[in-house]
Amino acid sequence: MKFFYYSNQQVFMAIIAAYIHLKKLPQNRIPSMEEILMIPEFDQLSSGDFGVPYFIGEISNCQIYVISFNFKISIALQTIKNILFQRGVDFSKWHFFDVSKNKNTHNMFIWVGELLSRKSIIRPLGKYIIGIGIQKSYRQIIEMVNLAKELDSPWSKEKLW
Amino acid sequence: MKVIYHCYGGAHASPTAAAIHLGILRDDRLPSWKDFKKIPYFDQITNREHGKLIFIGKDSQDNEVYILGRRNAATLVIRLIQEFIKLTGGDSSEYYFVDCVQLFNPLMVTGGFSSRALGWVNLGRPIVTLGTILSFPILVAKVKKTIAQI
Repeated sequence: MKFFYYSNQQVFMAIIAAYIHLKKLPQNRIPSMEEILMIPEFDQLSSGDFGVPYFIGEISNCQIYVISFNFKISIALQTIKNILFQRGVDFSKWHFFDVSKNKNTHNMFIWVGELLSRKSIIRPLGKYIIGIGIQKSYRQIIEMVNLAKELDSPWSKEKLW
Repeated sequence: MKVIYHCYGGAHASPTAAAIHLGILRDDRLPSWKDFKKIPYFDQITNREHGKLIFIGKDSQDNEVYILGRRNAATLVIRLIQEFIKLTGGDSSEYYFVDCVQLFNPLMVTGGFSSRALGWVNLGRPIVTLGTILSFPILVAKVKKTIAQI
């Protein structure tokens, strides 16, 4: 099974969701700023990497990826659906979850931080602001990941496609 | 090799390029209005088919020719196709993408928009067909260059 956490712009939120899914971040407390900023993928992935799925880890035979769609979610999902269909892939084993859709989790701090982190010179500031945003909505992010994990069809064909 | 001609809507420039590639249209003269009826999918692709590789035919070298509508997200769509082909165990280097959008002219844009987006086919189709005839020599050059490179 493959699980994709996708985002409108940058993948910081998707990385956090993937880390919670993989149990690399705690579910019973809010992580410290240091724990958040130490995540290696925060520095490895850049805003120019949209459309490229990044493998974050594997748990219980489930491979977790993050991906950015650069504000073009509709055509991106349509393209993925078509290519999977043409490749004869079983959709039920490919899950996609939008982490930027919920305003409670993807708050103003995360939006501003993601915008700032596009410029390399102010990227550390952007990351710090994202960290604040993640701490503020961490409980909701956990709920979102738990909901995503419960969906056992490609988060329902009608919903996704 | 799979050759994919792509443009904004996949309805005009790319089907014409694919038809030139496959010899459906002669490349030594401008096409007539009747010739456009022979072009598979010309002025027929809708939003629902965007992001989909549509097979048109095989050329004499056994290359498969496709068309693709990718709106204004060429980089994203091409990357997604390449990456998800890899993820599903395929070889993305077999796919050769040719951008036809640079060949657009105002007649193709307004005619194509009228016909495809607004659904005013009777108005839009003649305009976009005229626009495609004007762009035809550029499309022929593009296809010839593609055939030489693959």
